[in-house]
Amino acid sequence: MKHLDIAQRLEQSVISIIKGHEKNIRNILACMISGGHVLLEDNPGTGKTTLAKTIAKTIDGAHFSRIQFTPDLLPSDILGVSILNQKTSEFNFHPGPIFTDILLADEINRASPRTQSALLESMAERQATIEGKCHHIDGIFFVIATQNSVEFRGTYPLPEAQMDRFTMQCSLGYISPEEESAILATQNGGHPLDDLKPSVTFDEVLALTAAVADIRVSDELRDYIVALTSATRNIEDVQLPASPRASLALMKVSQALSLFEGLDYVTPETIQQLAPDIIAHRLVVSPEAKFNGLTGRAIVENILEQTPAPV
Amino acid sequence: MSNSPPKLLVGLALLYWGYLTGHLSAAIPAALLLESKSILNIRWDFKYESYIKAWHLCVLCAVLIAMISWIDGMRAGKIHTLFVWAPFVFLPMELAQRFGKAKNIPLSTFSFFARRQMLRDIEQGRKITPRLFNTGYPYISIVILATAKASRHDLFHYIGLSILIGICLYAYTKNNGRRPLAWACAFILLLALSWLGQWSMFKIRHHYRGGGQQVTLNQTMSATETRTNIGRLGRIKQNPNIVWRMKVHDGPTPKLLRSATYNRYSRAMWAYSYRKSDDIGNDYDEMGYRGSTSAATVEGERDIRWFSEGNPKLSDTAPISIIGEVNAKIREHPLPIPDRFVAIGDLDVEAYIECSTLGTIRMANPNYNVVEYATWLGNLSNTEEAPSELLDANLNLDLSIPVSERDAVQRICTQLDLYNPSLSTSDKIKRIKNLFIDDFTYSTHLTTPRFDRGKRQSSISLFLEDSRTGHCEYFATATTLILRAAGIPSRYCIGYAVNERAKAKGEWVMRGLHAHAWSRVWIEPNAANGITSGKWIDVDLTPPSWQSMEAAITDGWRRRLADWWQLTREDFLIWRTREANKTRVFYVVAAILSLVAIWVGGRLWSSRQRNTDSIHNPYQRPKNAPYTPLHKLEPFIAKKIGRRQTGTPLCEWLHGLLLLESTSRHALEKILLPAIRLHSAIRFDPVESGSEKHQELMDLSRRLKQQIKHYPPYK
Repeated sequence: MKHLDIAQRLEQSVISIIKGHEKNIRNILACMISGGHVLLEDNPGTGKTTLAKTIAKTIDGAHFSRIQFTPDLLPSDILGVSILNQKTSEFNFHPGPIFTDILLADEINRASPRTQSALLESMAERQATIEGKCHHIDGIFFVIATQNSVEFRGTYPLPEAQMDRFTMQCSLGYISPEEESAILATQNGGHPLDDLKPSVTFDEVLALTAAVADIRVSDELRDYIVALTSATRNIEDVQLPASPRASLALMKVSQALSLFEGLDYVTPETIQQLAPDIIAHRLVVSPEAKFNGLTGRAIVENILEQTPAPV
Repeated sequence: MSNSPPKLLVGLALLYWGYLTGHLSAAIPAALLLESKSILNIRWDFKYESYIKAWHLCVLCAVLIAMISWIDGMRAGKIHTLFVWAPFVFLPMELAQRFGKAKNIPLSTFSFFARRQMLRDIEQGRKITPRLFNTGYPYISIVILATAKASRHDLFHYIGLSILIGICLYAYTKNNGRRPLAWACAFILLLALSWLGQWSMFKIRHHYRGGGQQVTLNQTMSATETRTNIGRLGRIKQNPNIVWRMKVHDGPTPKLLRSATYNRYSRAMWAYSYRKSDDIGNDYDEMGYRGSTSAATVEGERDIRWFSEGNPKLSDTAPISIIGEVNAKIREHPLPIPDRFVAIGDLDVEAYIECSTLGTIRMANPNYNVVEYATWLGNLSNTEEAPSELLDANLNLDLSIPVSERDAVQRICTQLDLYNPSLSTSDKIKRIKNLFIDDFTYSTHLTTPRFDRGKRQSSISLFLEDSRTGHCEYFATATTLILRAAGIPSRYCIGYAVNERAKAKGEWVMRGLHAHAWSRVWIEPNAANGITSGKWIDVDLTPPSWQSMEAAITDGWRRRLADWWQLTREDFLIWRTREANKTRVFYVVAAILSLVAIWVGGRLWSSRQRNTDSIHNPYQRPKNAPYTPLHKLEPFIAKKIGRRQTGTPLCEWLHGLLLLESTSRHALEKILLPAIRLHSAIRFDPVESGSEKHQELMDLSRRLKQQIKHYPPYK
């Protein structure tokens, strides 16, 4: 119950700022406490950055940093750099923005793939190797990357390996006119984010993260998760299917989401709800199929329909 | 149409087909092949193109079956009988469906135009939702229809049909809940409908066939009866197709080939009238035919038939051989033969040859429509019986003249002085011939009697005394009747005039337009002229100009092409009828087919895959997974919100109840949500032991049932 309370406080706080995306917010928060990272692909102006900042601000004591990805951004701008201290004649390491709790990687696909790759190690292993020295990243470490739709001008597609590092990809999308006019009303006298008080403490979030592992997953549902991801390996239109990392992510985020729903075990509904967000972006669809309008999301939804659900 | 039939049903249907059509030896392997799906663990990942290929293979099978039947000599009109083989034609498609991984096949597979439309839609980026269906049930219905084509009279047919329909109906409706009463009603209705449909089809067919009988009879000739065009108006249509061919190996070329002889004329119709009372041996059957004496002795294995007592003396090479197609429309299947015919040979061993008292030779059982046979000639024809000795024209058929024509015929006889006893038969014939040449005109325009149908009985009189214009049937009938009046036994016969030499092969061809009619006239034995026995001779008094009038039609490249095609086909059919060639054809066809089979089989073998359904979906409901009271409620709830899809979890599906418009939504929520939660806990929480929860859920589900009982059924 204690964990449910923390989770609800966290969720309510974010919802009070970001209107109309309750389901996505819950998924994203679940992703965060399961130790994953999220990629938001959306049109400009739909609240991606605000969401990241809200999450950072609602956690008391969480360090927030943001990187605006530009075409001339270099890996060292992300990871940090050693600079010669002329007084001591020693190299002093200046950690980059990656050493943080909540990292907003804004417009990640505007940087070259080389720079994007700088995130690979840290996202997967919570560490950064700079000039041969390994630096561990403590704390929450949650990367929220945003990207404009790939077809936009001046964008580089993310490398497949990078895509696989993201636990989840989702889009917020446009909200209903009523919700939009509500946003206009709240922002009349300044941004409500400025007045947001932290609702949970840093330690509470860490406790929540630790509690995820206690959510029970039956053997049967583990099989079901593997069935869903491995089904992508038998589809001809898929050039690169989902990895075991996808299965793992699906299980962990399902556990986290169950926590948010006040359950101490995972249900198939939770898995089904998360599967498109967690699996679809990792699939590389063959060009012909893509040309015919087939998307990774459609493939996953089809798999969900075809695979008999546990009842 | 997206359900697949249950196991063994297709096999059962195929065995039923095999049993009733007598192709059990073909049905059993096919049934085993189709049913091996449940045993074999091999599947193919067919693409859309592969299904199209399978469909093309089906079409190819159909063409192949049609071609083999055509080679076997089947006529185009009989093509519907091939539907019996439909289960084999559609076998490739059904195999592809069964052993392919796809559950359903797009409907556009079967239509070239639908496929093109679909490709265009894809090109232009339109969203397409292909209509999918499973070929299982359509295939079963094809099998049932094919069986009906062959064996609809059989009682077993109806019993088998009932069983199959019953199983299909049961399996098809199983998923929507079992309602025995509804099933029984549908079953009885279907059976009644199928019986009624069959009955009415037969009635309709009977009606049209029965009604058509009289119409076709007018056109159909037979060896016992021929309706002439005497007394009709209009132009005789002549068919330029080649009907028979003749090769002359030895001796002179006969001018006429006779196919049938008749002895009684009445109202423009010549008939073969056989009187049992006539004192003509008793080896003729009641139709006036008798079988041949056959011997395979003359030259090794040569099979020769004749009709006289004792062995005729025959040369080694038959002087004349004839090739052609036995016309199925002419009943009794007469074969054309030259004058002075004594024996026939080289026919199929099983062919049964008969001969009438008038010397008409017929094939009682034409196995192959196209035949080739050799004929031997003697000094005189030994198949025709001599005319009756009776002089009374009423009793002697060879002398009888219908009353309506008698006066005119007698006037002509008087005019030509044919009653003069000092004139010989040949003199009398000469006089008639001169009369015809001088005063009569040949014409295929039948304008002679501008009279109604009733006048047809005296149209020969009109021809002789009034119009004096007509075609061969007039001349032949008039000749026969005049000679009979003059006391000379004579008969009327039809056949072909031999006057067109085939260009390439040194043969003679007889086309439909060479069809001719003339008289057979009896020459008395005359010791003075050295004629020891009487004989029948051909007398053709039609003015010879008729042949030149019809030559023009046979020119032109289209005719030549049609001729070439027909002759090639006939030659081929003759060739493949020979025993040695039959086996050769069989081996060649079998070799080609097995090569194709090996090629297709090899490609299939290399692309086979394990049936990886279980690897595809490592998830299977564990055997020991508990069932909750909500599971038991599922069929009941399905009636309210529709069936649950396989991919939908139970709890998510149950939320559909909340979407129903209902005043008691709040009350429902109060029961449903805890029930769902309990169900999930019992089912998916690994540490849950759950006997209390089970009890609680039982209670909740009972209340849930009460709550939703009055909800409207799902539409």
